[in-house]
Amino acid sequence: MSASIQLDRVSLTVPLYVQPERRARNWAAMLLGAAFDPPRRVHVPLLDEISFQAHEGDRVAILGRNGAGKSTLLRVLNGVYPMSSGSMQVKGSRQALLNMSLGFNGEATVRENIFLRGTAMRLKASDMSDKIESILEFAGLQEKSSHRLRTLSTGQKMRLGFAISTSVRHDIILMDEWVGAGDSDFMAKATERMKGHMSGSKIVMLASHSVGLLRSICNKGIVLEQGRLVYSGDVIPALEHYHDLMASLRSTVAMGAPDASDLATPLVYGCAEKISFDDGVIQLHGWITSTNGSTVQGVALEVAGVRYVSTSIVRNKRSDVARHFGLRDQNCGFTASFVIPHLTALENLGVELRILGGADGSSAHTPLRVAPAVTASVRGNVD
Amino acid sequence: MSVNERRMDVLQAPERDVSMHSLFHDLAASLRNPEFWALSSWLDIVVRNRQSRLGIFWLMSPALVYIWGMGGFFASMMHMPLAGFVAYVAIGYLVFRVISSAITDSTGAFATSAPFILDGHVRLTDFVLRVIATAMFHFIISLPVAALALAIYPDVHWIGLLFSLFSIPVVIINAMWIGVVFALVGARFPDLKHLVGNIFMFAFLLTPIIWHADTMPLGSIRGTLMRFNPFYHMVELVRAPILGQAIDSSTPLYLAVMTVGGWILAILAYRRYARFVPLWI
Repeated sequence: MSASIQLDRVSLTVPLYVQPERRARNWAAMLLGAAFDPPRRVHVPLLDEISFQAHEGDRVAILGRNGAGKSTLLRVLNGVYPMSSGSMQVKGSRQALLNMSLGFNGEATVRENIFLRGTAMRLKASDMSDKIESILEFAGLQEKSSHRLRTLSTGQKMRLGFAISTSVRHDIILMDEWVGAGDSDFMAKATERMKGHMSGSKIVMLASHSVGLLRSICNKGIVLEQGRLVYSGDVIPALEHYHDLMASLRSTVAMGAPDASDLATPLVYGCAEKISFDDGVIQLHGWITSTNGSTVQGVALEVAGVRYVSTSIVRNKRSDVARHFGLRDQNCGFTASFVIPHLTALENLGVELRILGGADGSSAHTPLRVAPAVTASVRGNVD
Repeated sequence: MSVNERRMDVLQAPERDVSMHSLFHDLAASLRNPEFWALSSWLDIVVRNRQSRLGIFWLMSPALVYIWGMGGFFASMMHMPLAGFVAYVAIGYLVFRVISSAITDSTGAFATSAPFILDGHVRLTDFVLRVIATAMFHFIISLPVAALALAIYPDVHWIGLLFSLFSIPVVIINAMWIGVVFALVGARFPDLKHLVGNIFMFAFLLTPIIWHADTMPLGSIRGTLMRFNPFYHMVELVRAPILGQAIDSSTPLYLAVMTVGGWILAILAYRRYARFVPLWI
């Protein structure tokens, strides 16, 4: 059976109860107000006339600010939230990977919890028993299988949740902001699995702020803003729309508008592509940008735990990168210079080298992707 | 992909069998697939007492306290023979406990299962059955304590004991609709949980469990109040035949009306409100 999703003018309006605002003059008035003021019922449109279609092979990125309706849309697609109006047709089995750490019984053992989650996902107990070992192995929890779940760390629980959730194949996968689940070793394993898992499924809908992740997985994109669908189509124009949206928001913030919450900490991402050492100066080439499209000016090196901020940074035009990520700003490339005292050769930087990016030099804390060429140069095996 | 990965990926997920409109459809689907609710309620119960040596025998302690402790105390207070009174308390307590835990637990049933529901497990009858199953597990585990009380009762009616094969399912069927209705209302109004908790102390005293029903004659106000109490009729239906007492003439009619009316209410409420539950919790 082929899988498909069809949404036609789907809206979701929910009643919310809000406490009346009132200017309390002292703390007693505020406490009394909190206790006795009746909440007011207001109708809030979470989704407003959303129409789109997804067919087999579509990997759809759901873009938008916090609170734009991404998670709500996923829950409607998952059949959890009822629509207020419109019609929806979803063909194929679906699984939501919205929150991986929930739905456990803390006092039961790890093994029992695997059964619990498995049966909650409508699997037969007999099917589950063959899979227990491989789930434990993937989560790296073989020795812990008879421990109480409560005694596991948060990261271990996330790993377990991830391993269980991805152990079944579905036609449609609905994924929300997939946050880091544990150490880098597991993350690499998980990303690998996720890609394999997605390639086995017919439709993927992925909501995330990580442009790099979206770009590596998705071929289609939709942009939501305040519950409305503002764009739907291929992923690159969708990313452009998203960046435009963020840029226009930034300009209104600059004019003094409130609601800067999303823009306070934009996600920085980028890549270090080439490194050279000449005359006591390290030259690092690459590109760097951020999720809200603001210019990023800071690159730093961390050598054996010591930070070195670039002495100068020159921006250059990188239309290839801008095209790939749907950026409006073409000037995302950079060449940064570093001076590290007593350095005689790149090999002396050591393998512990980290390359960090941020809004400016002092706030550069986000690790950038390091291209193989850079690693090779630092290891000394340049060909 | 490793060998393991491939082996794990062979399982294709089953289609969902859920309507969120028809109570019967969802209930039938839940009964056909008991794995989830049976396992989760069983885990909830057994896991709680793992820390102690007594383990699952701990679960008998409430029954011991009520039947032998309270029953013994009231028997001596009212100058009644212990052998006759504890059996009366035992059956009354067990039936009352099934219904009362169905109500109190179901008011929070959807909220406590929110992670499952929001993750797409939307067959809500599973969560109601989880409550009923928990109540029944407690019932069954308390049976030995009650059996001991019956063993010393001088005049157990074996026909009446056989009748419980009919009367106990009647209690369970009623517990189900009560569970559905209270779960829906409890999801919408979370305060219900506290209200219900407070009312149950009174309901326990209003139901003839630690006192004899015949002390409330038919004509009196208290007698009328007692006969309005649904617990009274359910307790009587199970208890009276076993102890060789007559069932009140109003009980069969009362229960028939309550069962049919309750189920209609549950079906309508489920059809109208079940799909809003994910928004409420």
